[in-house]
Amino acid sequence: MVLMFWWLALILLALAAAAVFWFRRPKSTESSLAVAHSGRMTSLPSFRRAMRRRLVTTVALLGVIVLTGLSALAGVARPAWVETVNPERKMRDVMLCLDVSGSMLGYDADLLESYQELVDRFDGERIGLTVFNATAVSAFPLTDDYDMVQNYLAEAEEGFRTWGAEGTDYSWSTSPPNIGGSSLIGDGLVSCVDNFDRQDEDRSRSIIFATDNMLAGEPLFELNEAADIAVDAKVRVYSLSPPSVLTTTQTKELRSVSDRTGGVQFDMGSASTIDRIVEEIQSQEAANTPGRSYTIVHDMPVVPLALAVFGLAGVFILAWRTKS
Amino acid sequence: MTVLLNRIKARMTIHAHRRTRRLLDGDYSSVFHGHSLDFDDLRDYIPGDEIRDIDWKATARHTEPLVKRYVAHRRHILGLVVDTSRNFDAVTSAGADKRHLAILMAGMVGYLAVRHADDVMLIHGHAGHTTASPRKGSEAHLEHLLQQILAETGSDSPGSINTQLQWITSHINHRMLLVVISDQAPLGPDAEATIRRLRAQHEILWITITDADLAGLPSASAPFDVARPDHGLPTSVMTKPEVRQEFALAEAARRQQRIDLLAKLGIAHIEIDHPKSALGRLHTLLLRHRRGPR
Repeated sequence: MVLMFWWLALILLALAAAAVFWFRRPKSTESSLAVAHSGRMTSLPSFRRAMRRRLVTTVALLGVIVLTGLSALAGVARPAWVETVNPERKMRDVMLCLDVSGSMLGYDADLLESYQELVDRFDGERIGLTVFNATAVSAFPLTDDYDMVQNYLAEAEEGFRTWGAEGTDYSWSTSPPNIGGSSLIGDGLVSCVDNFDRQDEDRSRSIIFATDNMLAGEPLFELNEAADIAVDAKVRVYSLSPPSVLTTTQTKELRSVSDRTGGVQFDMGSASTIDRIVEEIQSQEAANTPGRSYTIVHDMPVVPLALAVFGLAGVFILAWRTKS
Repeated sequence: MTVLLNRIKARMTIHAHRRTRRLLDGDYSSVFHGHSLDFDDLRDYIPGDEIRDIDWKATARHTEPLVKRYVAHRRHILGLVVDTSRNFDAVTSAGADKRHLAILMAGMVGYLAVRHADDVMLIHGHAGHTTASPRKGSEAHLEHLLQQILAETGSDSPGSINTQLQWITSHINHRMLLVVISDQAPLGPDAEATIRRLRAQHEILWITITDADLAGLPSASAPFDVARPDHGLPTSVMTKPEVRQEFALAEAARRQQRIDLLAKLGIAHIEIDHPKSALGRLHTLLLRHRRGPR
């Protein structure tokens, strides 16, 4: 809360003080009448009562005038709430890219739980979720409506935990019968890259790519080709793979994709994974998107000006009462 | 240099026709009821009269005690007792100057006395001090006395007629005709005791110069109390109906208390607020005194 034109208020205050000083009524002794024994009057209880009442009214009038003047001055000084907005964070897009193939079904519920934790840590970034198996489905597009994101993630988690009995079931919708094969990893990644919008803006884009990289079928894009597309689109891919001694080759492949796009490969399961991902993404993005912070001024003239208006009404009422 | 007295004489001769003036002379000559051998007439007994003056035979034929009055033959002394404090630098209830009205009243009575070849003295002052003049019978002396009252203009001392009355009780031991010129300052028990004491020795006439009606002052007059010249009095508050009403009641009570007190002590009393009624009021005063206060 700051006063934008405090100097104007000060000038007006000085002017008001000067006006009061110059235009105050001189203590006139002209045509004054000398009387004796005023104690006859001043000792009367009703006179004392009336004087006390007049004193109270005068003090009240003075107080209301001063308050009104101060409110008006405060209004003139333009009270405002100044907010400095750091646009850097708003320029980040994070796509959660989830493999829902049969080999991953056992991990998906936990992964979605991790995603929910992940979303809790974000502030200002836009989040999207794309699930893929044989084909990719955009669960929700990039958005900063975190309540909705949490809802969708919770429902998806519920769907995976109950094998589609409750919540949202993505397994069926991502494996249409007209497309052969499943776990088309490369296609999934390309779909995720494709799901970034606002291509004309220079935004920081990253994908959290959760998959075990167990390919089954003929994809349109090999993982390497998909990685090329991601590099072209300047999308960093942070891959997240379930720990498995059998899949070291696949994990290596994923790491190479992440390395090429400037991301990092994580093993899921360790408690610190989420922290590391958030840290990694945020430090990386902060370096990558130079923020141009700007200031927003919210004017808040309502309270002082309303006070001034009511005060003015009060002044008139009191003045009228004193007069009558 | 008889400026003040000339003005008073002019007022007595021009504004009053001859009959009134002769009437006043007659009033005055009958005022002094000193003890002489010549019996004058009878009047009702008033507490304070000497028992030996009661005419028992006349009283027996009457329902109430009567006292004898005698025509005085010796040279009388008129004592003008005037409060000359700052309270007299104010206005009367009719808007006239209190000090000039006091000078006028003192001058009129004094002039009557001088014309009757009586001596005049002035006892004046304020709450803290009393000044007394020598007693002489000349017009120049009377003018000097009036000038003394005028010279006290601008005094900053509070007034109390009781101080002057006290002074008389302790300093004057011959019989006098006292004309007290005071204002509406309340007469307390002390003053009552002093007056009672004086009444036993002297003839007393009392002139009250009425003070301004504080509840009826217009706001343009910007009134102030002579005791506090730097502070104005709030006319807007003083003219409020409830204040005005209470003030009127209190004033009426005070006035009645004064009238009752002076009547009880057997002192002729008038109130005056303007010079134009001075002659008439003086006549009333002398008449009341001759008839005895009732």
